[in-house]
Amino acid sequence: MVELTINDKKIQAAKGTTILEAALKNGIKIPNLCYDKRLSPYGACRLCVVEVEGQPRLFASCSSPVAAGMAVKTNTPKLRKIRQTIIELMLVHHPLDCPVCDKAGECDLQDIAYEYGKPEARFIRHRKKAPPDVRGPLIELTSNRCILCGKCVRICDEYQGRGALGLIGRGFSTVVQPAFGEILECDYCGQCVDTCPTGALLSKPYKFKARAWLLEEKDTVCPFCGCGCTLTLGIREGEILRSIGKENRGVSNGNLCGRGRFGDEALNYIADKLKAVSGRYGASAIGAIGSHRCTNEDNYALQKFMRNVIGSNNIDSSAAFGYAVAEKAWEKAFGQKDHRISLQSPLNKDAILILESDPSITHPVFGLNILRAKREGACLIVADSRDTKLTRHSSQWLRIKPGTGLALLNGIMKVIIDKGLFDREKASSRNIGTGFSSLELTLKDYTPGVVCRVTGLTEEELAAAAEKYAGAKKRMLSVTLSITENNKSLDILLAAANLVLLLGDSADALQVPAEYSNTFGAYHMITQNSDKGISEMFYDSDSLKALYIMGEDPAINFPDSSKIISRLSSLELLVVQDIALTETAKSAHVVLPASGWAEKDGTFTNTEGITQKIYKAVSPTGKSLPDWQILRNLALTMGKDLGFRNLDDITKEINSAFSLQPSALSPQPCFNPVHYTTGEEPDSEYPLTMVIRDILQHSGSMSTRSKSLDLVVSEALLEINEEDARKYGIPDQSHVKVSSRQGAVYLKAAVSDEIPEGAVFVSPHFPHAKINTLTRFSANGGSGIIAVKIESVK
Amino acid sequence: MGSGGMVVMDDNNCMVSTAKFFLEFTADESCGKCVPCRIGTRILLDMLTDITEGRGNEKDIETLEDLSRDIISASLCGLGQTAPNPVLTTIKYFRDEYESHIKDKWCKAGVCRDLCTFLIDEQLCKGCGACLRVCSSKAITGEKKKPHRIAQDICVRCRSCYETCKFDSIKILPASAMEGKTKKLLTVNSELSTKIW
Repeated sequence: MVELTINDKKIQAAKGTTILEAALKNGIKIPNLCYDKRLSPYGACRLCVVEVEGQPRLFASCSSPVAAGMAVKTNTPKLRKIRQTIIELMLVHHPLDCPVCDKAGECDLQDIAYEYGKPEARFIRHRKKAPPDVRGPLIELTSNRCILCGKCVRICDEYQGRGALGLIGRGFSTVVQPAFGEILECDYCGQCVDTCPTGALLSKPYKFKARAWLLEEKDTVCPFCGCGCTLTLGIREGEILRSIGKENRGVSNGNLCGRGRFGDEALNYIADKLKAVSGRYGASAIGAIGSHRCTNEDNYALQKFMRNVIGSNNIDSSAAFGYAVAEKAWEKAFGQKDHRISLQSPLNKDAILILESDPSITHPVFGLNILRAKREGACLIVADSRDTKLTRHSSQWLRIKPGTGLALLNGIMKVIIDKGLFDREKASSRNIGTGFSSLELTLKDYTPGVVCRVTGLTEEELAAAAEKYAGAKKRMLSVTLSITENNKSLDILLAAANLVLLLGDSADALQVPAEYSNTFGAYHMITQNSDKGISEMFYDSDSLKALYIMGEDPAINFPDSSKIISRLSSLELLVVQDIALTETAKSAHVVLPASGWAEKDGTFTNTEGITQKIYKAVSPTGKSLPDWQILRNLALTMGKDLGFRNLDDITKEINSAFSLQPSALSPQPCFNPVHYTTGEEPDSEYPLTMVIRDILQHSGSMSTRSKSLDLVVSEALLEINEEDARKYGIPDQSHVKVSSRQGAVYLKAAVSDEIPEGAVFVSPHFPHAKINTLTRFSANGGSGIIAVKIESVK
Repeated sequence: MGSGGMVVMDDNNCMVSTAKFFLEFTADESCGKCVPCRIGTRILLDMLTDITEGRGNEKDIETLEDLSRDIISASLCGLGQTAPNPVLTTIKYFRDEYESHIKDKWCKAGVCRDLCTFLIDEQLCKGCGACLRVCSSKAITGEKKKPHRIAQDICVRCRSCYETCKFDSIKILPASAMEGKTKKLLTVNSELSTKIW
């Protein structure tokens, strides 16, 4: 520490600080125009000159370090005189257009001239006449007003690291300009606008909006990222006209980025558009899609935003393709809601039937328990066209043709009924189910002969499986169902439920796990009780005009991509809030960056219905914010309060609004006889059936953004049987064109003996593979088996 | 002068123009970073230009001195800190020249073309014809051994005749000296020139 006196006041200052800093710290004001504490000393404006005792020269306090025993005077007549002269000189060529300058009222030059200047000017000449540069999108540059303090140039280069502005020329004719006088192309952070002491650099969106002294200023936290910068909003008559960063306020201390400074634009734009769409077409023209990737809190905030702020009940999530279908089946078959599975359920079972699913891939821990049950003596029957880990460990592998699981179930039931392997009394009693007779009638046609022709099994295999399953004491049947699997739908769940009811088992003998980490939670937070779901929003041509998508990528993940994309592009407003620039985000009007899962706190509810807290493990990337905070800020922009300030508030609201317990409705079990319908039958033109199946390394499309996961599997492979590969002349690892009636994609072939002849398997994860170009939409979940043809690409 | 170098000049030099010459250099060389030097030197130069072109006013000397001192005190580097020195020293030692430029609009050295008139004193002129021969704009007329005359609307005030004349017959008078009189082919007698001198 160094001791010095400034204006006879003894002060202590750290070694190396400048006189100006020491003075400001001790409440002594020294006028300055080119000093910014973020920048290195410059000493150009010379307003901060001070007298130091014993020194003949004046010191520029902003660039002179303190020294022990220094006696500094900051406000002597000599200094006042010199400051007057300097201000006079600055004003020689500064246009006095304050009446039409947005900076007026908060202009440093104006303030300093008011405080230190003098009324009369001795020199009247050299008004510069350069026209303002208004070519850039957000920032305009009026070099006439520039006093060449260089702060903009320095903050851009030194602080922001962009270097988009320079002092061009020298001497009297110096101007601040982008290189070669081109249009300002930069980060548009607007730091230069805030630091400019005059009206030389101004925000274009704010131009001529309001006089500075008429603005009501309110501090808020920037919604765009995890930095949580303090924005000072300029509000007039309830409208946010601008946001700026102010020195010494909040964590950001005056620094802002383009999103914060000009980003109220984005929220304002969304708010205005939403209001406009709602006004013109009614609130029902606005829809929203939540996501299993987001926390319960995020999804809750989204539905609350839609219902309370927009007044629309059109909200859904991709669970519509999976878990929502399971819920539908549950209600129909068992009269129950809130279906949840138990990961422990395979244990202690005598027979386990897995239908066209591979839980060891989609739900690995559940899969492990299935294998454990098998080791402990259970009979594991796996009906699957594909050779999987479970088929290899199975007691009996029913290698059915893709998409024929429903026929198999009906066949098994028919065998059970014909052979009397069930309790007819019990099955036809109202306690177990209603409609047994109609089931019997429906199953009449599913003779072993017919079923075996459809599924490709032998009659012995079918009979053995039916007998083993029906003969077991404790049974379990499991099917997975998700948007990424195209071979199953509502009907197969109903058929499975029929089997469960037929054998007199309770509902928990059927285990249909919710597909992703928070599918269960997302479904319960948003999908329940909504008016229009995904099927109405995307596939029925209807009047949806605005869509708010949070954490979902319909353009890639939803079936029938071309329909989705045309739907998306027909919208008047598409807002995508996601952690990365997804395919969908590419056609959005506004993209809002949200934090990823490890970047925020919140809760996920798993397939067992257990709500678990997730914790912020890393700082949010770049400029993202948790979804619920973006929604809260958007609601505030629209003039409504969602009523929660933090995560705890939402959690409390969720707990009081939803009880995530199985509903206490009196169960009304009911048979729902369903017929096997073929999807797209392979024909001469499209001879192969395409099955979409998850692979172990990935989950949804987001994991393909993991570099390490992509090291393992980095491409959507078209898996094809050796015989078919030979037949169509496709070498391993060569490129093939896959076409369906919907469209065509190019994939790399992987020849595999796990695949049955006549079928090809693809994984749905890779956005660039655009698998859904090939698929169609089916309201019952899944997209149905697709008939495709393949050609070798040379 | 400015850098501290010494320049020897005689009374054929106008000190205001000399100061202006140095300011032209420094205003041109100013890098433009600090305000006093960037704008101050330019203002000094403009004021000196005004004075040499007859637009000076009475407060200018005071203003020049004042501004010069402020520029010296406030400038960032040696250029700005010394740039006004020529102004200050010429004012200090040749204040009368500044005054005659401003008040009389008369550059006695005949350097500031707007502030002087060249006339031939009829009584001193021997009619040798030397001036007639050096005049590049052919403004001088006259027969041998008779007093010559300068046509004022042709004369460009280049000082050639003044420097050539061996008889001191060419006089430099303020531009306003002939105001109200016909400017064509004027000469002047010693009486008048002495009076003004």
